[in-house]
Amino acid sequence: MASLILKRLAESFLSLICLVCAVFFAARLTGEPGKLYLPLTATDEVVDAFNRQHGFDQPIWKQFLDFVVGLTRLDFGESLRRQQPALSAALEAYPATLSLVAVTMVVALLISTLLGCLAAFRPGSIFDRLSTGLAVSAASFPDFWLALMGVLVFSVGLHWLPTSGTGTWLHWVLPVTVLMMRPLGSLVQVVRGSMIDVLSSAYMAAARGRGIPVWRQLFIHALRNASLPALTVLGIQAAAFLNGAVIVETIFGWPGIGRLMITAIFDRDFPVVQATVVVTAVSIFLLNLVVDVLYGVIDPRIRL
Amino acid sequence: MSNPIPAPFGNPALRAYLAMLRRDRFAVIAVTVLILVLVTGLVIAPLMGDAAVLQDLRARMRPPFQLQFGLHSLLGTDLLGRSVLYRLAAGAQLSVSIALTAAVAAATIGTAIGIWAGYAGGIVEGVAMRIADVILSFPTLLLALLFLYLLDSQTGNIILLLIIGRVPLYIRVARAETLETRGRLFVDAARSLGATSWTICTREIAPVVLPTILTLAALDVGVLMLLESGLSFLGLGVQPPAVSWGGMVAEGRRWINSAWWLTLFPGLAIFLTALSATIFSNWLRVAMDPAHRWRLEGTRPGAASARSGIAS
Repeated sequence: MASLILKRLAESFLSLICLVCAVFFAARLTGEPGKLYLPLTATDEVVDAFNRQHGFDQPIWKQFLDFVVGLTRLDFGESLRRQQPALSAALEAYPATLSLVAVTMVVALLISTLLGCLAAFRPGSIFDRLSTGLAVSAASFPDFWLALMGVLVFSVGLHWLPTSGTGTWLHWVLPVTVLMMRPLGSLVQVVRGSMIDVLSSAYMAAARGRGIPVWRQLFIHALRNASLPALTVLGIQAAAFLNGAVIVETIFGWPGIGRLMITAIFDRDFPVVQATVVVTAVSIFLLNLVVDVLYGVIDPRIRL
Repeated sequence: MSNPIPAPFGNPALRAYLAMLRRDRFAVIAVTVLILVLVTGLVIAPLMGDAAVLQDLRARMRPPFQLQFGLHSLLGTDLLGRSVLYRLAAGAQLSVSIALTAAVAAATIGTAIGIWAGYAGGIVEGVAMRIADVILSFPTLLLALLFLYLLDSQTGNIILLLIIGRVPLYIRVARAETLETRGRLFVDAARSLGATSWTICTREIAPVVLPTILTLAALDVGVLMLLESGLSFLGLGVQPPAVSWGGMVAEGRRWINSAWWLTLFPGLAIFLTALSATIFSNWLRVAMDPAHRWRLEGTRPGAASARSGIAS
């Protein structure tokens, strides 16, 4: 287990380095960084002065060296729009995204477990077909549209939920629901599939033979083994959650890292864009690590 | 089953697939929707000229389903009096061509690299898989946003980014299938008969890998459409005056309180197309898998043999 985690850490670190290099060189190769950092209306003199000030007139290998040295000190440079370092802007927005994604993941896992188990209990039943249909269509919703329709019906029409912002638990309902939809589709199908496999195993037949109540069979005996594939999918879907977070945060005015990134992109605040990308990448790698560890906790056979 | 299906086409394989399609109601509906979108996007939209951007200020903000204004205002009009229906048709052109091009290109490139990596092994495999891991571990949307910020939001760049984002998926799948196929007896037989690596890859391994790739690509068309519309919604995808479904939702967002039809219909178009692609892909997976095909043929072979097919 420890060696697995170490191997994963090394792999993640390598991936992270690749990503950072790609960001650096893409930014330099696609034109003058001065033009990238400054507003489109900046004059040539301003661009030149800016280039000198930030070392963009240096040869590219030296720039890269400086960039890497800055990274080791976790320095992405100053934000061009906010009076603070880019990294602290990204880290300030981070908890909001983290809590949103975490709550959504837990809710998605609970709902998909419930739906998947019940669907697997009687394959081919009406309930099974309904939940499979729901799973297939949930994955096909454009999330931004679902969010707007949610606002239209529940906020504008019925006045049940707030349109955007944070504060009460009511503010969580729409963002969590929208963010959950796409991963939910594959989760339900995975839980259902693995549950059907587990239910046909010998130890489940034994449980039935011993007269254990049905809910206990499903949720205590079978679920533990059936949950492993779901966990894997949850790890794979981490990227999808963050994809969705960008859109959900933008629409619902959620002060998270996705919205920060979009704002930074439109403000042409490149240090912040870089910082958000790296912070997001690190969190995805950490999340996958957590999934690996959880895997070992649930299935002792993997704890080697 | 027993009564032969009338054959509109000569190709017996095609006929078999059509017969299997008719057994699945949902797949028939999905294929119909997909064909409709394809024809609209690739045939009707290019013939429409500038109908989608034509403004008519007397016809501003007409609600949908008012038949007295004809086809033009059937799905309502926007603030500039442009027809939502015509704009949907024009949007189909971009959405379809972007998603299709990206899916086909990503599938072709990814499969070629994946088979090569799986067959050759060694350093080729190591490098290809590592790059694939890096790209896959990062959200495609964020990656696309980042690079569309650096490049221009031109259609070509969007397609390129979507291809880069999706190629790793095909590399992984093609490599996994190749690794499994490489050790099979018929590959050994071909090799001992003196077949070159190229022949083995294209003639022996590729036909085994292809059904999985096709299924994945069909599914991916929907995923790519969702991605592209998300980009356009955020304002980093297709730029106006070009019409895209995601862009239409973004435009309609400002009037969501008063003109719901501006947001509802384009979103519905994206949803239905993506859903159809998913359903079609599910059908394709079953239809192309000899172990599962009986579900669509209506003849169930011995349950035991079907079970063993599922287990493997």
